Amino acid sequence: MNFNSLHFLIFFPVVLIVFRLLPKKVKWIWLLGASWYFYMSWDPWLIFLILGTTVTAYIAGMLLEKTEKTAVRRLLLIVTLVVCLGILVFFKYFDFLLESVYAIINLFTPLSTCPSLDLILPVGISFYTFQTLSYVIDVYRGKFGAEKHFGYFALFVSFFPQLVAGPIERPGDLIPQLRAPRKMNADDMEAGLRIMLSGFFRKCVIADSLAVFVDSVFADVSAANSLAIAVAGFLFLIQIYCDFAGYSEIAMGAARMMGIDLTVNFAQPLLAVGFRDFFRRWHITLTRWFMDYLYIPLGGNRKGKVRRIINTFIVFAVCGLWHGANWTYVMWGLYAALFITLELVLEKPLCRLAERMHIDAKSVPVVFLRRFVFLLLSIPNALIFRSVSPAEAFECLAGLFGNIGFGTAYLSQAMATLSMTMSDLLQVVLSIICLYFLGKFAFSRVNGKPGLHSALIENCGTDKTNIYARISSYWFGTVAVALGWLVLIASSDSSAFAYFQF
Amino acid sequence: MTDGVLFEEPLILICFGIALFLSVINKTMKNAASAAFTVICLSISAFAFVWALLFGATMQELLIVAMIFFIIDLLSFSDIGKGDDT
Repeated sequence: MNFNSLHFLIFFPVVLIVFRLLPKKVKWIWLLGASWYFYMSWDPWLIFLILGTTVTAYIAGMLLEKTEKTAVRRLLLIVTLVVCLGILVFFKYFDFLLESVYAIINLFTPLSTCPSLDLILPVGISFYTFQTLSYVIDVYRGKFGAEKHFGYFALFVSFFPQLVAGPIERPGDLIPQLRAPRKMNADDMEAGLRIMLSGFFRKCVIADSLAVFVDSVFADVSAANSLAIAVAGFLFLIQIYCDFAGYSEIAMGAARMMGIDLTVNFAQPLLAVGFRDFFRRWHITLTRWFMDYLYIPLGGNRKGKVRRIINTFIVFAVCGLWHGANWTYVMWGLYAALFITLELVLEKPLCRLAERMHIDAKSVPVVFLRRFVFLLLSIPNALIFRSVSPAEAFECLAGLFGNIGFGTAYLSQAMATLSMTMSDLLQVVLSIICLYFLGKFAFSRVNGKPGLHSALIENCGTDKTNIYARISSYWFGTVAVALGWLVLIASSDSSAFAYFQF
Repeated sequence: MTDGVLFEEPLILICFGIALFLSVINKTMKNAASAAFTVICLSISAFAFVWALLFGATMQELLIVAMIFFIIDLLSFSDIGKGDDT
C-alpha cells in the first residue's frame, strides 16, 4: 500500500476516525492492527519477519534489564545484533555477497554461473531493523528502560506511517507518545494535513515528473551528451530528495493528525553549503543513527585526525551499503566521505585565507557560491547513486566529462535525450520554485504552536498568514497534487517511493 | 504550450487571469483580504479548470496553471520567520 495509492486514501481516514472514537486504553490495539494490516498489504508473509525481529528485541530488552552482569549483557546484545542483522543481511545482501565472492574467485579460477536465491527484499526491512537495534542498544547502554508492554513495543517497531521508509525513530522519542498520544485537536489536524499536502506535492508533482527525464537519459547513457547527463544528475538529486522527503512528510503529517510527532528527516538539504552540512540536513535520523551507534563507538573524532578520517570512510561506506546491495552505493558513500575529509582538511586554511582577504564566509554571495559549488560537486554522486552498476556509473562519469560542447544544436540534442519539451522545462522551473518555499509552508507553526523540530528548517517560525491565504494554498496545492497524480496514472508509470527499495 | 487549449480559448485564459488577479490582490493588499475575495477567486479558478478540461486541455497544462497559483500562495509563507534567526 503506497501512500499515493487509492488504497491508502481509504485506509488512512478509516484508521483516523476509529482512532479518534476509541477510548485511550485501547487505541494502541487499533493502531497495531492497522500497522500490521498496512505491512501485510505488500505480502502477508512479511508479518512473520517483522514479528521475529519484534519478539527477539522484546525478549532481549527484558533480559537486558533483568541482568546486571556485564559479560551476560554484552552476550545478549551480540546475540540480538546477530539475529536482527542476520535477517537483514540474509534477505538484502545474500545474493550480493555471493555474487561478489564469485566475482573475486572468477579472477583466479573460472567458475560456472553464480547461483542466486532471488530473494524478494522485504519492504522497509532496513528501517525497522535499525529502529529495533536502536532500542536494544539504548536499553543495553541504560539510556532507555525496557518496554514491558509487548503491544506498545510491537507498535514502536511497526507504527505504520514510518514503518517502510522512516523516519528512524528512537524509543525515547516514540514509545512515550504511543503510550499517551495527544488528544486530537484542530491545530494538529491542520498542521498534519498541511505537512501531508507538502509531501504529496513533492512526490506526485515534483519527483514523479522529474523521474521521466532522468529515466530517459539512463535508458541509453552512451547516446547522451555531457549537458544531458549533468542535467539528469541534477534532476535526479531533486527527484530522490522530493521522493524521500515527500514520504517522510506524509508519514509525519499522518502521525501528527493522530497526535504523535515524528522527527524531521530533511531540512532543505539542497541549500547545503558543503557535504558536512548536507548530511546534517539529509536523512537526519539515519545520519544520527550512524553517528550514535557506529561513528562514536569507532572513536569518532576523539582519537586524532587520521582515525577520524578512517572512521568517516568506514561510516559512509556502511551508510552507502545500507541503501542497497550494490557497489554503486558504496561508491556513493566513499565519494561523500572523500569530500567530507577534504572539507575537514581544508577548513582552517580556507578560513585563514578568507580572513586575510577580508571575505565574510557568511555573506550572501559567498553562501550562494558555496551552495552552487556543492550542487555541482553533488551531480557526479547523484549519477553514481542512480546507476544500476559500477560500469554504468563509470560510463555516466565518462560521458559527463567527455562529451562537452556548445551551441543550439548541442542544446537541442540534450533536450531530445532528456525527452524534454518547452512546457516540460517550464514545469521543471516552477517545480524548483515551489520546492524553495515548501519547507516553510509545511513546517511553519500553526496558530503560534510550535511544529516539531521546525527550528531545523531555515527561518521557519510562526505562521501569521491569514486563513484565506491558507485555504487558497490548500486548494491549489490539492489541485496540483491531483493533476500530478492523474498525469502519472495516464502515463501508467510506476509511482512507488524510491526509498522502499532500501 | 502554444498549441494548448488555454491559448486557443481566450475566455478560459481570461477566467484564469481574473482568478490570478484576485489571488494576488488577496495576498498583497492584506486589508482587502476577505472571505468573499477568496471564495470568488477559488470559484472562478475551479470553473476555469473544469471548462478547460471539457475543452480537452492536457493535465500538464492545467498542472502548470495550478502550480503558478500555488506559488503565489506559497509567497505568503515566505515571510514566515524572517528575522527569527533560527
